[in-house]
Amino acid sequence: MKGHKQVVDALNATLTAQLTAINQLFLAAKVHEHRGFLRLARAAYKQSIHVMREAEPVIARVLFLEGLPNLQRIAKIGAAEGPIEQLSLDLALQQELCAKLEELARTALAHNDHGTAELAEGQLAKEQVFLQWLEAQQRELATLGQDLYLAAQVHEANPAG
Amino acid sequence: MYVCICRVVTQSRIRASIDAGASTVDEVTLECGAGGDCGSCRDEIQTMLDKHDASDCDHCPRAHRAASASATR
Ligand code: FES
Repeated sequence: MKGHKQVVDALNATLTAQLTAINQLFLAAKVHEHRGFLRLARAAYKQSIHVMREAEPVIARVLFLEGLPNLQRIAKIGAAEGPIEQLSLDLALQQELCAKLEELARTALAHNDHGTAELAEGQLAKEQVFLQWLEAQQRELATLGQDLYLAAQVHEANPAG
Repeated sequence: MYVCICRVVTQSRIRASIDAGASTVDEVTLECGAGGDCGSCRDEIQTMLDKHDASDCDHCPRAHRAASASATR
């Protein structure tokens, strides 16, 4: 089925945000792990893999609409010098991903592409869960202060999860 | 943060280059290496250059050029 060019472009823009998130969070996870912040490492790792899974239906949708999925383009990776700064870079990254999904849903609806709109809205709700987690970290950080907050990141909260 | 991942150059290191007078991305690359590989950080270096105006530094050549550019706009 031939899709509208603007919808295909919005899908590819979402894909760019996803590929960026996959790489940034994978790097963040490995750096957190290297520094011993296992709780942060685990959260970033899980999210990176999760976004890779989410990219799959987006790629499939572009192909279904007879476009070419752009796996070439990737935005600037946010690589921090320390764990606290990394959390704010990850927050900005996640806000960007959510914004791209919102825009995709809007564009798709404007062109009566309800399948794409449904895909975008479903993914948006899932991405907002990680967004909420990142926002909660900022609140914890403000309440506990940097030292206490970081001390709580050394062990995984739930080794089974 | 690391603005340039390829050459491992931090934001503060690039700011030092700009403070020292680098006024284009190429000059920043020459001075500290940032932007000299894949190039995906060049936009961000440009943004840093754009933001750096006379209020940050009133003696470097870059500040004067930016000031005169905005005056003619
Ligand atoms: S990130 Fe700066 S040249 Fe690649």
